[in-house]
Amino acid sequence: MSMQRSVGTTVGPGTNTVADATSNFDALDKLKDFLTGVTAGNPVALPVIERWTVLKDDVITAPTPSVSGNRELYLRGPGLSGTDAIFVNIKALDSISSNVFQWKISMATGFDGGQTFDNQPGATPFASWLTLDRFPAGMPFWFIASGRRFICIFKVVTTYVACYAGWYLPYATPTEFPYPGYLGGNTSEFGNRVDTTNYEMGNFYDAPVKDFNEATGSLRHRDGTWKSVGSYNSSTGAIRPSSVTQVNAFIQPFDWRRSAITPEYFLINNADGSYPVFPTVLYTEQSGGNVYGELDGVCYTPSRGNSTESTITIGSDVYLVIDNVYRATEAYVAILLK
Amino acid sequence: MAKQTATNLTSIDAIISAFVTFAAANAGFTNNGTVVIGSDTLYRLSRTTATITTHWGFRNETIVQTSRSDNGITSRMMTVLPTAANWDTVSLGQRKKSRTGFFDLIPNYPSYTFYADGTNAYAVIEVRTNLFTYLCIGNITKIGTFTGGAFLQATDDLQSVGVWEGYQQVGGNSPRNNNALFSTRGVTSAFLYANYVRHHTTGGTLDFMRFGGQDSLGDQNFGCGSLPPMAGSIGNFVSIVDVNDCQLNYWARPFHAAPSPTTLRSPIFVPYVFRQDSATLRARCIGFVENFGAVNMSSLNPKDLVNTDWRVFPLGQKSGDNTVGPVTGIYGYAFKEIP
Repeated sequence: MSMQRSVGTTVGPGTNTVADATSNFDALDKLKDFLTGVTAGNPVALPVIERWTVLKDDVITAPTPSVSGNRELYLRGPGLSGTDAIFVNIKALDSISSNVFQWKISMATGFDGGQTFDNQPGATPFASWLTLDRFPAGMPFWFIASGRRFICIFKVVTTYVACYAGWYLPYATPTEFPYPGYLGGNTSEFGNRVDTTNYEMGNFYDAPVKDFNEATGSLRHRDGTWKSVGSYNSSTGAIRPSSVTQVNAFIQPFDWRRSAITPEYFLINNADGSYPVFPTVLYTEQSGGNVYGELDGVCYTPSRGNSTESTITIGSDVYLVIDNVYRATEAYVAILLK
Repeated sequence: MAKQTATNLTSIDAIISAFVTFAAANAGFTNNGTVVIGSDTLYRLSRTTATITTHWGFRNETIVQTSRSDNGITSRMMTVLPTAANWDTVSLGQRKKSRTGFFDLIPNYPSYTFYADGTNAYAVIEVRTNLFTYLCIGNITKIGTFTGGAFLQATDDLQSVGVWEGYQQVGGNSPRNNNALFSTRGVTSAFLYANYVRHHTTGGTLDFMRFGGQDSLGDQNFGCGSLPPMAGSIGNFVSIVDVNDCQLNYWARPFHAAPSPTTLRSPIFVPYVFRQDSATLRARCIGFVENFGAVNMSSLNPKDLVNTDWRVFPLGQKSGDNTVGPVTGIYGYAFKEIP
């Protein structure tokens, strides 16, 4: 795995000095360069065998200060051995008139250049969205990637938006679960801006769900269907919904609202002041239940006394701690910078 | 892990003796020999970790309670070498003794399996075909830095001589699944009552923290049990590995969602140990137990080898006659068998 950060941030091993992203198009360029290994002077480039392939990069409309942009990027990840094929597609929507600047992210099980973005083979039935911005002042970012999956974190002023695309770590063999895909953004809603402050917003590990067919996260079951994943009902309110209903699967322990026990309030730091990290487990209770596996490099950590952009060092591993979008009082995530 | 097995066991003393020898040879304990308490033999181990010495004592003791006489191992962690004179001195160790009950059964016991990983030693004792009881000792793998960390895990504890606390409260008799109430308790949280971890209290004095249950004597526990830490919690204590629930709810949700109906696989859950902070009444994670975990037994049979190198056992018996021993259904332990 490899990690890249922009100049605006100061943590993590093996960092690069790449300029902050100034728009969602620019952010996509930077991600593309990182995943394909072309970033100049990149000291932490992905190993050659794990570099992703661009299947198609279609700039439908190039944005200018007065013109909206529209672009589709189709990527294929090779896995860790170079023999897998993991398909992630990103549509950069840049609408001046609507004041919307988002990535629409989809996963698929194949690529068909003759098909539209929404009709790729085995595609997720609903997309995940990442809210970005045109932001000349620059959005610091972190990219953490392997041949199996990538994680993007962007900081826009004080809001952290994140996405995960690729494979999770399944509790099964490749034969049993041959395509363990997980996709998540920071909202299930088209049209949200990065400065939206309601419960339609929430990063992929602790995210809102609108219904079975519109969720921030989705995972691929063994039978080929994609399951909605989330922690709470999507809401335009400012208070976290206390329930989650039309959802197929959850991420433990971020789904704490389902229980009277609320780990971000009950758990604190370690006896010596350091912080623990715990794995994030994907599971469902439907159809007899299923515990799928863990998000790769994504951990829960107590928020009490913790602070965003702090780091947790355990052995040689360094984790970056961030808020969930604009919310500093909820459960924190610790992303392994490796 | 080192492993040792035997079959057709003719006495509890022989089991304890073999376990003590095995733990000393494979988990870094010092064998301090035996002393006699009344007609019983007390077996003793010790270990010094970071200048702190902890002693473990094990006694083959028959407990007469109400109309029933039960066999089993009474065990205790202490700050001094256990002797006949100090074995019952409360201030010198665990406030309550731990108990590995044999469910009224008498020899011949079918088998035992011992595991050791250099630090911890685990005894899985089959007291009747596919009915198990446990005794585990060692040091947790710490998360964060603190003094202590020695642990003892059994299956029940003794409130006082002749009274099993957990079972006495609910079942009224012995460690058997002999009525509906007890059956409910047995399936949820009754099986980890006897667990202790040694830890500092607020004042910096080493103490033995009991975990995994709640009693009526003010020695409350929380956490992995069903009692949230905010509810009347006083003082310092630790909690853990209750297959019913825990601070992170791994047990409450994913545990019950396992195994996969399509792969029949069931993950092995890490037994995190939590301790309550008296100032905030919040929980701290202080570590976990290596090479040991909880597993959903729905698609597994006792003694199955899963995920290449994990051997699984039910907490009591997966199914069967609940007048002989607790029926614990989906709840099981897993021990890593091969390094």
